Amino acid sequence: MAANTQQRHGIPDTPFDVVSTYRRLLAEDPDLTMPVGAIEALILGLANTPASTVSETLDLVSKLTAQLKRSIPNPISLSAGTDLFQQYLISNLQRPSARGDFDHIRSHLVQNGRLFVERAKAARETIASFGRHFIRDGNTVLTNGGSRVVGALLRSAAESSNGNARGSIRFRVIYVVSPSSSSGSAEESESTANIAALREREIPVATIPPTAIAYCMDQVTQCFVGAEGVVENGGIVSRLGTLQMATLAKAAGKPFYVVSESHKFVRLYPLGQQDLGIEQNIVDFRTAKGSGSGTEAGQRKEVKDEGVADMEEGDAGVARTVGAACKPEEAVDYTPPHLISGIITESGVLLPSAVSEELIKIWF
Amino acid sequence: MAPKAKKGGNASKSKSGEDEHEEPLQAVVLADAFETRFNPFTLERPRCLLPLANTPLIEYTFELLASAGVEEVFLYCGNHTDQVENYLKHSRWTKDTSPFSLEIIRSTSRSVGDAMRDLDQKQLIKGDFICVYGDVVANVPLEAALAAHRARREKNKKAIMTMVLREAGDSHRTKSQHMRPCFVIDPENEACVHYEQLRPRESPRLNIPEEVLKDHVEIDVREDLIDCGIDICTPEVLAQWSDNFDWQVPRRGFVYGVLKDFETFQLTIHTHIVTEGYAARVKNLQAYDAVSKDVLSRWTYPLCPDTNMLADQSYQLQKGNVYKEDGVVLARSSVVARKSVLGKATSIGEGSTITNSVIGRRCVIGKRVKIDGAYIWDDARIGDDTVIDTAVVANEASVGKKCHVEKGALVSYRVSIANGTTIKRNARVTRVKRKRGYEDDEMIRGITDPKVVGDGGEGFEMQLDEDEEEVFEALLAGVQHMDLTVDEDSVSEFSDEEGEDYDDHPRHTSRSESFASVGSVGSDESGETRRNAADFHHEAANSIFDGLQRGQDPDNIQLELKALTLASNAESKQLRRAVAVAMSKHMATLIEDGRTAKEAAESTIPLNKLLVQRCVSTESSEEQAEFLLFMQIDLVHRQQGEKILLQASRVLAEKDLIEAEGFEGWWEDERSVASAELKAVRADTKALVDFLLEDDDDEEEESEDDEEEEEEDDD
Amino acid sequence: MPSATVGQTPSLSTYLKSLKHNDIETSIELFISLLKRRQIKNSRPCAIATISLLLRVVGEARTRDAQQLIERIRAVGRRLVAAQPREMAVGNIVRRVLENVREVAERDQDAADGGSEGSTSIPSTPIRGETMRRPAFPTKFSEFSPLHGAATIPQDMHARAPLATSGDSSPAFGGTMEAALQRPPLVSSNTSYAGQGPAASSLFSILQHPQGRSPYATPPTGTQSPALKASPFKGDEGQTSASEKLDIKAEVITSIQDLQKELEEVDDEISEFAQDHIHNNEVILTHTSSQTVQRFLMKAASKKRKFTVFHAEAYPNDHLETHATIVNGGGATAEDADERWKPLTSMGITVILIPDSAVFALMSRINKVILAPHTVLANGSLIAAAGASTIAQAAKTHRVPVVVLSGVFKLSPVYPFDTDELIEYGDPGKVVPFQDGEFMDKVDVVNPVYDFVDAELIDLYITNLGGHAPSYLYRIVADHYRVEDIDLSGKAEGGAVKAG
Repeated sequence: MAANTQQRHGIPDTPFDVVSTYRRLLAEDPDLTMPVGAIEALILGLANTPASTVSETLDLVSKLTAQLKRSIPNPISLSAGTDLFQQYLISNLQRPSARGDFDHIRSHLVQNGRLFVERAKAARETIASFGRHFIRDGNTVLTNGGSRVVGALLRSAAESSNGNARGSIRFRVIYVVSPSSSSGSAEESESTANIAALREREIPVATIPPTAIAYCMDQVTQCFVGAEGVVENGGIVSRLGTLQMATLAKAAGKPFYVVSESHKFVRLYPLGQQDLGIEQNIVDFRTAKGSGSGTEAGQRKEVKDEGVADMEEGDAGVARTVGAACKPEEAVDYTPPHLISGIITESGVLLPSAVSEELIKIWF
Repeated sequence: MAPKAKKGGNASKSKSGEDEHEEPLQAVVLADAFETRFNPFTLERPRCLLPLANTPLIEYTFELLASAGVEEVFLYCGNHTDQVENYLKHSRWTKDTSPFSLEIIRSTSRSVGDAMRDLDQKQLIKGDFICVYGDVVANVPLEAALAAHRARREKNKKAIMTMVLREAGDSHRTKSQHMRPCFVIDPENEACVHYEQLRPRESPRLNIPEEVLKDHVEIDVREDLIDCGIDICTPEVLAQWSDNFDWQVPRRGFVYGVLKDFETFQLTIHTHIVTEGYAARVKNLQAYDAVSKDVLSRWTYPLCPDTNMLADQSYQLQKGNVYKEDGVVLARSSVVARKSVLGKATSIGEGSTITNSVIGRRCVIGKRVKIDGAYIWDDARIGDDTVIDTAVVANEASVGKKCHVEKGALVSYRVSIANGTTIKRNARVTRVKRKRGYEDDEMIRGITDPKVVGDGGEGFEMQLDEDEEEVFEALLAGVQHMDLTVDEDSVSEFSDEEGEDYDDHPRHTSRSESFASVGSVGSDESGETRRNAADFHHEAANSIFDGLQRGQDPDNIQLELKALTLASNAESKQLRRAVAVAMSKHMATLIEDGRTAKEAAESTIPLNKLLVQRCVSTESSEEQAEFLLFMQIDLVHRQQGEKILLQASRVLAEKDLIEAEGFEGWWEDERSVASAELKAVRADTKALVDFLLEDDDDEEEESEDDEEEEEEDDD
Repeated sequence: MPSATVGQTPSLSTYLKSLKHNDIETSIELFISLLKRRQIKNSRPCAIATISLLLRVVGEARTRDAQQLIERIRAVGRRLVAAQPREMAVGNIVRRVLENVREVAERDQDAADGGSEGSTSIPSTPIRGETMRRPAFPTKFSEFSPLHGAATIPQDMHARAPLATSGDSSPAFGGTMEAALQRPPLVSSNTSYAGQGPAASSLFSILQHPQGRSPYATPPTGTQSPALKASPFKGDEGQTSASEKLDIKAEVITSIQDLQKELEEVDDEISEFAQDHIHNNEVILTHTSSQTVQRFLMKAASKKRKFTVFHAEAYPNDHLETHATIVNGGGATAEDADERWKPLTSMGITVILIPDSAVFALMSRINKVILAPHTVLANGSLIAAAGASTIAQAAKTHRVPVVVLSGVFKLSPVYPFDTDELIEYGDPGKVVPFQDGEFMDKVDVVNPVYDFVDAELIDLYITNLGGHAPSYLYRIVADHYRVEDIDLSGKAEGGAVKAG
């Protein structure tokens, strides 16, 4: 079976490079999210390297995971996937009763790499399908582009907007689009795609620069944002500017919803913006002599890379020139839970306070 | 006292009320109010099925009964019985899960009176029962009224009926705008001691019998009450109806009658004045408009659209009292403003605005349409750029593009209005017209009139007595037209009316017959023949009046009459009555049109002297006397009756249709002074009679003096 | 089907009476129309009526199969909820009962094939063996701490997955895939914070495991294992084991009766917490004639606490009852006329009646605001009698703690997508008398019956389980409701059966 998986992914029998596989997967499938991409990569790794015992397998997985995490500077989203996978293996393999099933489990995983991806996408559809209940007739929705889940949600709302069982739902969308982002950027193209899709469906869409959020907040009925990772305390790590929007929404007393598949829940407890465990060079103090050390520059390079990754939730694969890098909208910020009204996952609307519980369940 | 009774009722909800009574609480619903006030709609559909805020009227009534804990309901239908039955067959009320057992009684009744008598014969009523119309919209807690009623019963078996009345201010959209019922009530026991209906134009003048004034220390004269036609009756009531076969209507007939005979029977009718809750009758389009408004602004709570009384409804209340059912398709630029109802699967085009309107299911409203305060029933289609004011567009009607439906216009079922047509104010466009048969009026397709509906349209304007038109205006135009000088009573001539001025002919019958029964005649008649008599009279009067109205050649009228007479071998007495009644009514109608009594009389009698001659031989003075008597009795209830009587008698005298002896006989006849009204009516004529009797010349001033004299005598 | 009491306005009492002799359909219809006519209204009466009705429904049900029972209850529940969506207590009770049925079914299942399962059971850790202990647990959650309850449900839901999908991998796997595909209908229209079910389905859902040995590998449909195994799976075994199956119906009925008991005791249970929250010389502000609050205050008073009560009268919809309550104690309303009790004043408590408009002015003098909700929503916000919002807002500005007393039965798992829809508009006649025709014509009168109070305005919820922070309510919801029941209208059940 290992063989045929190799065929399927056309992997030469060279020593398996999890990082490249990961990037390739993301590149191949724009709809793939980072965590799922990571999981798939790990599975392929599993398939490629014959591990016969439980401990071997676990070692392998953790090794690959480590590689992956090292490879990209912002492993938050990714680690959600890898952790999930690891925990899954552990909880399944490390049970006395599980012994006999090892091969079974392994083969199952190996065979069904794609299936998981499908499930992940199904999850998105699910979210969209009931997330649209949030959107009522006459609403005005504020969102910041990029997230495919939000896009899907709005689209499904748009599709059901006329003549569905409940009658017309006439809503408008305000899209926050940072003008600074080069029109080429995948994030930009993502949101433009969403906007176009909505406009086709006769949903009026306005695009505003991030600077106008406060201005238009009073005509907004609710905000939807995607997330790169949902952290333990129910806060989210998402593209730069989310925190700003959340704060303004809170100030204006408008509900602020996070739309995210539950496999983005990540075991991380940030205490503040500086506590994300990643290097970001957003606040870059400079003097006439220019800014800090070369290492930092290097960091910054990475940063953009990772930044892109976040935005795309996986499209990091697309090779980028260093030039397109280090734009603020490609960095991330952390939105604390008290600003979030609810997290819309494929399995329900969770209060931020419910997130930790979810995580606890798989970790302990 | 009423409020007290109410409180008591509420508090003792669980305790009192139940055990006292073994027999189930029964109710009689008069689904058909024997009326045509909702023409042209009622031509094709029974009134009780007309949609009010997209729910058939009858549903409201049944909800009321169910909420009062009624357990047996008898439903009386007149016309369109099949439709009613059919509807109810598929409603939840006939399922065995229904809160009460429902029995539909087909009857040939032509009035409430007949229905009641029929009911009495059927022996269906076991105990106290509630009597309502099929068009009552109310959420008043009847429990209190019932409790009060029972309490009274315990004390006094003679308290046979309790009328539930809703207090309303002096000016109230939901009150009857034309016929203002006026109750004289003895506050201490809430007995209604006198009842009259005020007509707007007249100076409100009650003639309260002096014994009333004598007997009661204190009386309230109340005109601020909505008579929602909810009566709590004892079986005795039915007995009364039967004993007085001539009573046709619950108020003018029954109440009036019972109160009149108070001296003899000591029967009392009580009132229960409700000060909270809602109660109204949709008895005409004006009420329809008002009640709809009340329903939309939730005065009838919980009987509001979003209660979804019917299982298949799914209304949701949205801001500004907008009720939307599922699957309503609104164009983005369309506006549905406050106080509107949109039925399932209705679609509204770009740029259309809808305000204060009720729109049924599956309607298609075009682009840039303006609809304000209109009632649009299911499956109607409205073309682009059309403007609809306060009007009714019935089921499956279609209004073309760029049309204008003006205030008060009524567009009946399946009518289609061609593009660019304007439907005039208060025009009533329909496709069918009623052909008056004696037994049943059958519907026939009328001929399309392009002038009304435009080329390619379908339908014609319904011709009814002009005065009715005015009323409709008032009906829909609501309060600002309240000053409108319309006498509903006259309107109702042909549109057998709201409980009161019901079908008129029976009513006149009732007068003359009641008198007849007071007098020696007919008291021995068996109930059966009485009923025949009543029927004959009804039909005869109908046909004659019809003839007169259409200005038919008297010969034809006479012919019809003949046939009729033979058919139900009626005696000439009845014939005379019919003629008298029809003529006087005709004159009355003419007067409504603004003619003077003089003209009326002159334009009526000479033309049709033939009729008179046929039934009143110049020989017998008795017959002549009787004829006059009938006329007098009928005119009692007409406005300007006295004048008509004067003029009519004059003309009759001039045309030698009635000799002096006749007049003399009439004048001497004690029956012609049986009641105050009768006196009043004939007052003016006194002069004439005197003059006839003693060949004096100048009537005018004489009659004046005499009038004074008369009044003096009266006092 | 005439009711026994003649010519009496139907009400809760008459309804309960009529339940005895009416056949089930009639009872349902009657209840529906009573709900529509608002002759049974407010959470408690609705809850009581619903539970009694469901008791009948279950009693009548001629099936021993849990799944059919569930279907039946759902069907009834759908109609009831549709009749009066704003009376959420109805839906809550229906869901609670469903939960009980499922639980019984699961227990029954475990009993049926418990032997085959590893009996390594440490309650604290999520191992399926846990479910072995389930039967021992009382069905009434309110009897153990929410966390404990929390600990129990999920596990046995997980535990059921393996049973559901046990067998050779390939079909089982197919099953799970279907499960994954079926998720949409399950969480379709209104989902909730119910942490539990989601947990089961969420995190590991994409890594579905054939053997499902893991306690987590549970597709949401897995939670309907009764369905799965009642029908196709081990059909024959079902028959054979039918003998040792405990009588589901009987079990369910007992559990429902427990629920009824809970409804009766809820006020007392809540009032148990009184002395912890009301202290001497405190000034309490309350609102409406809620007997829960009255009981609570009574309790405190009976514990020799001397405090002052400001009572906002809740004009126009509830002021009469409020006055009555203040003067002659609670239970003044017809529904609970049986249990009346003395007014607070009789216990030496100063009660001061104030108009709602005075709330803000007085708030600075208040130590504690005690509210009684109409419905509590899973996100910690609540629906309460109109005026509550004002009070809560005022309290917020004056930093006065707002305590909400609510029986668990008022706690609804339904997510408030649109709070406007939850507000009911009553009879304007209570604001302006109908007599005033002129007014009517010229002015629109609006009389909202309820208020929406946001979670962040509330400091503490006291339920019969104890005190909780608003953000914690989702947990209690999770303990008392099953995700798959949250959307009663959903055809999820049918789907599940097919899946099995």
